[in-house]
Amino acid sequence: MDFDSEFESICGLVKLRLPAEEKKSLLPQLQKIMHWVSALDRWRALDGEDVLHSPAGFYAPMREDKVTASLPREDVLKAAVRSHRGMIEVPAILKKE
Amino acid sequence: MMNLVRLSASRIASLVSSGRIQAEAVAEAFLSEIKKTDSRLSAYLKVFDDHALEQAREIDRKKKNGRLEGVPIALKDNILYKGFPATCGSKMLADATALYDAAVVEKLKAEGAVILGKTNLDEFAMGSSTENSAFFPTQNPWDPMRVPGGSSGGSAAAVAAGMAAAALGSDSGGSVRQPAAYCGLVGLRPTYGRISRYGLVAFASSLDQIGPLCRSVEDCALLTACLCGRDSRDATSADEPVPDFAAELKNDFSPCGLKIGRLHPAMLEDIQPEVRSAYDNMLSLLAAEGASITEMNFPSWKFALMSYYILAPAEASSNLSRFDGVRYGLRVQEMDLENMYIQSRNRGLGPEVKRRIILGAFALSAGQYESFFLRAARARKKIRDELCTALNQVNVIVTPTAAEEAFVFGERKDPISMYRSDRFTVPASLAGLPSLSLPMGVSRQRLPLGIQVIGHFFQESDIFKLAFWLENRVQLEKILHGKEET
Repeated sequence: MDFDSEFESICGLVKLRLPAEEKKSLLPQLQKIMHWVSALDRWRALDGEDVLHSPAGFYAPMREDKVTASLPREDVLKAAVRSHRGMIEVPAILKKE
Repeated sequence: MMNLVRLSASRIASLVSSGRIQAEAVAEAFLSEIKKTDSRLSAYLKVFDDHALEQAREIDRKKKNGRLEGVPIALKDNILYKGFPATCGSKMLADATALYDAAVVEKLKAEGAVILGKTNLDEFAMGSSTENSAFFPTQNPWDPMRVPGGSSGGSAAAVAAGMAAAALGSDSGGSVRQPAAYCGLVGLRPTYGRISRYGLVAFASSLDQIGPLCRSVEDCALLTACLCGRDSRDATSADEPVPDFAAELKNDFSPCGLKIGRLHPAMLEDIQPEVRSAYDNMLSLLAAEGASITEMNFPSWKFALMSYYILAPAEASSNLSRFDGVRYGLRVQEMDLENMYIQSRNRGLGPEVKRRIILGAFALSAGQYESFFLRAARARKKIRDELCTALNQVNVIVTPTAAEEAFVFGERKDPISMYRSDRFTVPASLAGLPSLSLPMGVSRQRLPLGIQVIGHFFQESDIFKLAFWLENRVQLEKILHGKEET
């Protein structure tokens, strides 16, 4: 398990970039936790076992395919830091050359 | 003269419904208690002073004839209440306002409850002590040097200190049950799907459940019945009939003939001796009344915590990706979008949340998915099957809720030692089974100790009946609080 070498790329995926100080304290803790949870590898009874993703022991019916009102646009826009002409405004994705 | 803040929720509802007391007087009494006490305990993030009084006056003007008429209730701050803050204990949402009511809030309002305010929690419900709140920790009313438990510590402290008649928390790995044990309360984690998660800010969607924290089993049963039911807005909510749990308590019940599973002594080796002896004494009492006690070993529980601390962070890493500064919450202004995401999350999220997000993303990553996430999901199935097999042989399984009394602030700096607080509560969470914590005694330090009763899917009735019998038989209320006024 190569957690150290993957750490930076995982942080990139989850949109976190830890300052050096924070990384210094977090990384050893994460390594310790990963080592602890990897004990599941020793439980041989799991080999060939099925997975369980949801504990719901029941069939949850789909709701009717009916269009219903969503949140009022103005309320949603009020919640955002910046909005412009009825849309949420964010920094540009594409930069001008 | 009645001490209104010592009344049970059931009693308050009965007195307000009959007109013997005004909802406004009840709300005032609790708000006054909050003013007097919360500066010491910091259970609340937001108190709804004027709004709570206005709700109460409205109930006095126009009775709803609800089952919770005039009952002052606190909400954990990850449950949305329209127009008011929903911080989730995080700087990321410090200035966020809920745009709609959670399903449970709609139900509380329909039943005539008065919402007093929002309570403190570990950030995004990740923690077992409420020390992870971005704002401040909450003190345990039994000993302010100790934690109230978590993540629903604020809700537990509020009820235990008489600052709410009842409260709602959320339980993913034990976050209602463990604070209930640490604060001397009754706390229920219902069957997964019993109570709608619509309007609960998601931490781990296959594990999260809203549950009540109360001072009595009757109150817990009453509140649960009000909150349960199918909700089309939560695709995982069950379409199961909801019994009148509180009314069922009035039927005669005896543990004679009841089959109860208890943990094998090997599973109790390193727990606090007082927890062990209170647990054994309670089981001896049940045996003396004719219950059949079966010792049970659950070998899978050795791996339950590891499974949980892979699955829950994995789900959290997905659920919390929405907090990126775009639509709501903290936004750090940056020149480009990528840096806006990164800096908003860097500054908005606390260390435990970051820890779990990174862990979870690692467990889901391409090279690790099979050996971590899928393996944990296999473990989950094994744990569930083992519990279900056991519950096909007995009516309920009884365990300690926590291995020890409430711990001192700062005692569990190491994350793994903190995670171990959940070792008795996590298995029922993984399986989706209902489980309740109720007080069973006090330690030498005069701190409450709790036991956990686990039932089969949708069998909260069995749990409530046994818990009610135990509560009355052992008269813990006298030991813990002095007898509650009726």
